[in-house]
Amino acid sequence: MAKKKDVLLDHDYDGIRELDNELPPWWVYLFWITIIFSVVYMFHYHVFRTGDLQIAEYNKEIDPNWKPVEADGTGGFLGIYRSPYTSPKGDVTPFIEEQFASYVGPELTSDGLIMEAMRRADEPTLNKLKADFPDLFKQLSAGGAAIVPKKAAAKETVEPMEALTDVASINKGKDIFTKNCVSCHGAQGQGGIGPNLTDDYWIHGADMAHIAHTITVGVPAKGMITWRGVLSPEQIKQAASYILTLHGTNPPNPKAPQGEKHTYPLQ
Amino acid sequence: MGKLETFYYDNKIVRDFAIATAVWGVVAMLVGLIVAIEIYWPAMSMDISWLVFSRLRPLHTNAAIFAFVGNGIFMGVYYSLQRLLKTRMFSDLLSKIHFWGWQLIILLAAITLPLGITVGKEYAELEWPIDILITIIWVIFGINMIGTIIKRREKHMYVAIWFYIATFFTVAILHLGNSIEIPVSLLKSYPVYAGVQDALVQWWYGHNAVAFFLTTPYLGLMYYFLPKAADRPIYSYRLSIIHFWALIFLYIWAGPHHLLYTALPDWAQSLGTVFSVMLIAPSWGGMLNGLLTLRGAWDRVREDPILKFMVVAVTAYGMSTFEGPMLAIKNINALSHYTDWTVAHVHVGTLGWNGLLTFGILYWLIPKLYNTKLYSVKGANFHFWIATLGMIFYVIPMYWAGVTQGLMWKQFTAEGFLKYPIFLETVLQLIPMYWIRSLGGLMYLTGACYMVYILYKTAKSGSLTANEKAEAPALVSDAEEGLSAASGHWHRWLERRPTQFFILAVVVVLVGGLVEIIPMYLIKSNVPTISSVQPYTPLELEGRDIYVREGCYTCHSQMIRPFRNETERYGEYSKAGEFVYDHPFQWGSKRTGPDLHRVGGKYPDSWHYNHMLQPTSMSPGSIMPPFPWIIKDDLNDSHTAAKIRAMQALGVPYPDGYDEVALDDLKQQANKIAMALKTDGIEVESGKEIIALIAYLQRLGIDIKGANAPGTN
Repeated sequence: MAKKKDVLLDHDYDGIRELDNELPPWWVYLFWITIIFSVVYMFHYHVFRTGDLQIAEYNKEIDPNWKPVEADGTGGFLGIYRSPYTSPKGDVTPFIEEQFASYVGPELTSDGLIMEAMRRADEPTLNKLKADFPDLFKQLSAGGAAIVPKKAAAKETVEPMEALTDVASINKGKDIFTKNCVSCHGAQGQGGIGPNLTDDYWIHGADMAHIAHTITVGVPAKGMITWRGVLSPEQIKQAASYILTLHGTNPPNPKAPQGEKHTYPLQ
Repeated sequence: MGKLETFYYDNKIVRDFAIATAVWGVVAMLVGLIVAIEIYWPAMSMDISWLVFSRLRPLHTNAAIFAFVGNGIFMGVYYSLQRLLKTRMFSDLLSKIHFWGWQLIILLAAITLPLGITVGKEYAELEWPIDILITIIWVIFGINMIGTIIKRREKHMYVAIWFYIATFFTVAILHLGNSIEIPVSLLKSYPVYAGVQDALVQWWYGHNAVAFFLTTPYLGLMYYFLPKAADRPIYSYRLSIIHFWALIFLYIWAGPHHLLYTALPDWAQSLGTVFSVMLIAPSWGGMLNGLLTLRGAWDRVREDPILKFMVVAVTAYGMSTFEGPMLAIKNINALSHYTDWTVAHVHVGTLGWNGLLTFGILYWLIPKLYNTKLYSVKGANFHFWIATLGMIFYVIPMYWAGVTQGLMWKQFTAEGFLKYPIFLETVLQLIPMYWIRSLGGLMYLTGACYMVYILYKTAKSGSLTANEKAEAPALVSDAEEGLSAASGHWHRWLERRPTQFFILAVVVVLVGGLVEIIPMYLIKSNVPTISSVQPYTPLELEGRDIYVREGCYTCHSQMIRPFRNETERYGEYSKAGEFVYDHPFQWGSKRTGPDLHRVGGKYPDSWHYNHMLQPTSMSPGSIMPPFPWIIKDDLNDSHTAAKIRAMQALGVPYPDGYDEVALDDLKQQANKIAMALKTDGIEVESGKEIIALIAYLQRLGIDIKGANAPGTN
């Protein structure tokens, strides 16, 4: 059959005529390609399951060595939400310990986490955990005291650290302070939502090492975020060094003293 | 051949809709310009609640879609339907009710949205009494259209009418399906769906509002007005057939592409992706039939501004229907979603396809209605250029902004830290782009205002033929004409039978929606429950309603995607089971500000207090507007009990009789927060709205964190 071209049909709608042209071949191919793509796509991800769906993708992004585990109803302590933080055996890795410490309080031990997991688990998970950790289960059934976070120590022991004193570092520290800290501690460190940083009173320690530590881990209970991850260790050092220079500057509108009085010069 | 009959086309109703189109178009664009400026100059809202960005943005989108394009659809349908079917509209009375009813809806929207009366679902913000009014008016439109088809003098329905039929039915279903709400009071309701299900239904609706409100009716208009203006035959009848049926079948499935990488189950996301990809060819079928119809008329395109408008409109349609499927591919969506890229994409569609086609039609139509010549062809040419340039000035900076911000969010340093951990940094980077965007918007608006002037002068120079005389032979039956099912192309049979056509279209449209939505309800594993997720306290519920009222979702998402950069920035990725009490869901679609799903506990109460009063005090340089009225206004707790009862009716497990004690709980929690604020030196009465909002914000996303969550022991 000869290729039809511009054949006018007998259609006439208010003067509009219609031609009977063939579908453009490239258009037809395009349509078929997208249909084939779609079938392959669905088979790849949902029939053969050869492709990574979003959670597998995420797990690999967090841990390149992550391997999927067949779901057998005994997954980790959040069931199907098992994150890369648990090993296939269900052990709590140091990583997840750290993560959950920031959720439930820094003092929770891994035993506490496992007990928390049991408390929340569905029946099959609970049985698995019970088999793996019989002692903890006993403790849990006896009242679960371990879940309650221990009282936070007022001051943690930290490695001593020397303050930076060169002008460049102090200036960098000032920039970091202005950008990140002033919304709570005030433009001159006089305090606001957060405590005054210019007086003799400190809640979490007054020396370089403690200030750097406080910045690093934050005070989540009172709304100060953990700056590790936002600021590099070097930047934290610079910020802490700058904060030390604020002492005794007596800015206007200071916040009332909070914490323990320290005698200066510091020991 | 039947005997020749004389009848009159109703031109007055077309003229009325044309005026409404032009006027509401200018209003929609003006509100758009205001919000485009407010985004980099938040002080522009002058601390007036009804001028704040987050309340005006829904007004802009609703006005552009339902007022500007909506009236444009009716203008085009009322003009073309009568002529394609050789009859007057079925009922003048219904036409009038339709017209005034629709304008009333728009007026109510323009009043209620700035007042914060909203359901909080994008493009479906209007509250339940207006939803009912929309349903009634839309059905009146449908009756009027179907009645006209029934009393037609033209045996076959032209392709434009196929699109009108699909539009009528699908929009009705979308609107009804998405707007099922439980009223709490005259101006407040809760959607019956929650969380993941609400999200799926919402984007089934939202996506198909684009498909069946901004696309299919406008394709119908293109099929009438483009060959009319160009005086050329349609390129290919068979292309019309295949692209029409493919388009309406495939479109309805694609909604989940708005929810890629969210807590929506993977299977639904994948369906969204593949059906979007398959839409390229059917969409381009429409573009091809438009552009190839102009073969042989290209010399006229150079001179005729009407054809210019139409060519660029159809080209913009082709571009955005290619881009849409690309954005539905997960790798691209991972970068584009929540950024201005999406904003650029939709504006290629609305400014380009809907806007320019509407302008072209208006320039063609008004001189015809008024028996005169266009007042200024030069002026229309000027409008064409300023509109096209305005569009370019709009979308290019927005693409730039989208890609810039998307990349900044994902950037890690060599040490493994987020390179831009402070969200605000990624926003401030975009300010110059926002500036240029508003310039583009201003140009586009200027062009539209100029068009109103030209059309006014045109109308002035002629006189309206309110009832245009026409003649056509009466319809004779198939048998008399010797037609059988086998005569001609098989599709001709369907075109002669509106009922069968309608039923087939309904079936084709319904398949996709049903396949996606029904399993979401029936299969429990789609939303795995998390036992520590508890219902909101009464105070939190009230706070959430304030969050919805202020339109926080226009700038903040509540959906942390499973990406390392997002879990680093915001915390554990969001799970489907965390949203089971969210009526409506507030996942949002754009992050001008950071995600808020796990903002609970991140800052002290006093931070939120100061931040709502003056965002820059807590976040220097922030472009979030202040919300001082939330600090000043008393919380209206007169509906709290009714809200609890409504939630119970929706299956939220409050204990029996809790509505009676809810207020006590509310006051107790409010006092606690007021006390906490006091220790930080902020004196505020516990009965203020800010207390409720803080309660809600502090609750966000903390339930899965376990022991400290309220409601767990």
